[in-house]
Amino acid sequence: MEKLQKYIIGANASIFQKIDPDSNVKVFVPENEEEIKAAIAFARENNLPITSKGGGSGMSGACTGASRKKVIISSMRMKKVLEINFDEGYAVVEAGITPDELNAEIQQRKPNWKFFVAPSSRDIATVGGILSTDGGGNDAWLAGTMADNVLEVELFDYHGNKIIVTKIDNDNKKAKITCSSKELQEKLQKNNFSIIDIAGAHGTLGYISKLKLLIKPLSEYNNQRFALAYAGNLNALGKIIYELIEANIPLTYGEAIVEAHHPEISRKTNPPMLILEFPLDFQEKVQTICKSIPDVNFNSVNKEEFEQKKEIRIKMAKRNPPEGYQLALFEGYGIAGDNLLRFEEIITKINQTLESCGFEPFIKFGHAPSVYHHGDKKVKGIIMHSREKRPEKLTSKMVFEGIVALVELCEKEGIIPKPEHKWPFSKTTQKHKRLTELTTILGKNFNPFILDSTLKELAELVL
Amino acid sequence: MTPQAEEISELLKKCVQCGSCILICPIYRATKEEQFSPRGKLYYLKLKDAFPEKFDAELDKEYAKTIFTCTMCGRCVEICSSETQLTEIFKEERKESVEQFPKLLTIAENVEEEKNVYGLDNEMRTESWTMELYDDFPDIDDRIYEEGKTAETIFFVGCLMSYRSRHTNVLRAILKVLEYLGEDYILLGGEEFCCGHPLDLIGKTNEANKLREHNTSIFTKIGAKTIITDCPGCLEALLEHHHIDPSVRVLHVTEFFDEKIDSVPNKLDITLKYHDPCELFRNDGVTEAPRSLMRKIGINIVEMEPSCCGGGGMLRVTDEKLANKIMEDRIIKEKLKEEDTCVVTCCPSCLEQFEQNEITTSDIAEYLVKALNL
Repeated sequence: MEKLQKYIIGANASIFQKIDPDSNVKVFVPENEEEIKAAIAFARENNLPITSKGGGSGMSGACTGASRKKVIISSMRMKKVLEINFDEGYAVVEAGITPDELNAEIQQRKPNWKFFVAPSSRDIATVGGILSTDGGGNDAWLAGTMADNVLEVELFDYHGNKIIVTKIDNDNKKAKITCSSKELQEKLQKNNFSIIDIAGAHGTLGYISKLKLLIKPLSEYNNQRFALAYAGNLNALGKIIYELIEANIPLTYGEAIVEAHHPEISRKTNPPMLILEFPLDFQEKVQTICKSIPDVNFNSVNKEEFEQKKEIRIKMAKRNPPEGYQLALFEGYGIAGDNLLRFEEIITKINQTLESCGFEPFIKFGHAPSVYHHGDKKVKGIIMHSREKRPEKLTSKMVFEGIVALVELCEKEGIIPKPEHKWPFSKTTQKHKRLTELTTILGKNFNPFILDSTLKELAELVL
Repeated sequence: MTPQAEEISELLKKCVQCGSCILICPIYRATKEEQFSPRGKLYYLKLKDAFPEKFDAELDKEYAKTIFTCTMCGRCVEICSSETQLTEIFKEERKESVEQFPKLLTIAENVEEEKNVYGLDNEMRTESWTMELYDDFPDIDDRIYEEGKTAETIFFVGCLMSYRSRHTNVLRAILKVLEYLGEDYILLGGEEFCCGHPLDLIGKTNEANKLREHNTSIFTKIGAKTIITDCPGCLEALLEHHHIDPSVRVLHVTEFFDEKIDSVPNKLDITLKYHDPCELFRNDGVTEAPRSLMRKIGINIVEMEPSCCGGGGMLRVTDEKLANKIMEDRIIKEKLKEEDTCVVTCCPSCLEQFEQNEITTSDIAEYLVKALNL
């Protein structure tokens, strides 16, 4: 079964699925530290780079290692919960556990506690993988992204050195480094190596084995209220999101359905619209915001109707059009600030760009309001996901041209591609520069393709 | 490309490879190997299409083994937001694999030659258990089909209940309730051929259809208005593939009894964990009747995780060790041995799978007779 295992390990949710099966020289699925070290030693002895894989649900394709010769180390057998400390509010876990698995363990002991990072792939995405892409999900507005919810990370470098990065003063950019190599420890400490570096690094800095995660009680607010805000046009939707951000409403759920070229979804949700959950104390404020915006229809709903809409929203990422199939060409658009006030213009331009490259827009939806990291800054806005109708004859040239055109549009219009999906075109970004700097210290042996591949190489991987 | 291959290719395109089917798959949970997961199996086909030159018979044979390492529980279909009919793909792939590697499985020979999964004399189908029931049903032989006999209801017993002694008590219970209800029922005896479901599961649809043609011809001769069975696999085969006259109702025994029984004289007031047989609730859509019947009997139902017992999809034949591993994992995960657990179900295969792993398990019918004081 070894050959079959090497072939199948390339399975993942991104558009980059055409991974040369022979490029996976060996697959390791370690269960403990010794096995991790043995896997890394194999790669080192054979002079091969290492790609880490979690659940393979990310849209970036980082877990594939592209079609380059490499060793894959899966974390899918590293699922132990090592400690849960309710007094101090943390859980220590192995990197392969999913948020759903962790929350099941937490809630078995205290039903009103939880780990607050919940991307829609929380049933399969591993905490190690979510940190590598700095995932967030619909709790990010209040709880932040993965970087904000990790207190400590343990990772291994190419020489088998264990590196522990411990957050200081709850600051993502400050950390204490402990390492089995004192020389490496000093270098990393001197270069201010921190959790924010590992977040969104797409596995370029080492193999993440263990994490200490923040856990908290469920909302301090009781008496949640539910509402659906229907916007007559896209600018009105952008304006609601803008005003909710300005008023800093502690929404416990905020999701937008921007557009849906799907009769069933459209009939059931009537986009553009927002699905909202907030504390009773803020009902009047939310209502006032919505009612002050022309063309917005605010509807308080019961929990059952809220849950129905939530269910439709969570499944949208994976839905197919009534005829044909979906494709996620360019997964995340970060739209914030004044861009929210010209939301219609932005969406129209995105759709025109898609169409000019041969892609038919299908659905757009996203966490709104939400937060994400952009360089050193935390940005508040919508993280909009997009799905296109898959062209019947899809070519790598189309993908290449489509992504280039969208990147150009994003740069021109001030749309921030979601960090998770930035790597294929990120050579000028602060993150790219920082990772390049850190890999001169840690070595360029983990997922090097993230930092040195061309978009052309990646476009060839589209299946 | 053949029409089947084209159909599979279209079904495959629906899958976005999100991975939601992985951790709920009983096979993946037991093996922790991605090639055994639903996503992995579909990725194989996608990859083969992309790199045909890299695939050979040896690799196809390994893949064929993974395709038969599946309980066909359908939980992956249930969870799939992309609406990919994974089990349909797996059924087609099983067919392809059996054609490519005819010696992969031997069970087909038993069914083709002896008309039952055990390869035993089919005339023994009824004799093996009726002998034990003469005390309760001295006229049981009169209920066995012979040319010219007619009845309102056919009780389709199925291979598992016919040949495995554990189920004699379940049969006794079902027959007692049928007698109590005054039903005009009949058993097919040696004229009951395997429903073909096991052959479907191993990719032998044509051979399965031959058995079904025989069964349907006997149903027609009897002229029954209702056919009942306790086996969810038989039920699926009867409903989907026997081409039975639409005026004839095909029901699971729990549906039949739930319709006929409104109340019981001896409410049991006991708490039991209910295991939903995958084929019954996912494939046949029977969810409410067993629960309704149990509530009438006085069973306080504790719902279990809607997960396979490990006995589906012919896994006990293709990989018994793995089938047991699935149950062992469930025992740990659901703490079935830590608590004083009694399980109730309504599928002979699930029942055996639980009992073989030392979990006290009964069929709903075994409680029904107690509640009816029979």
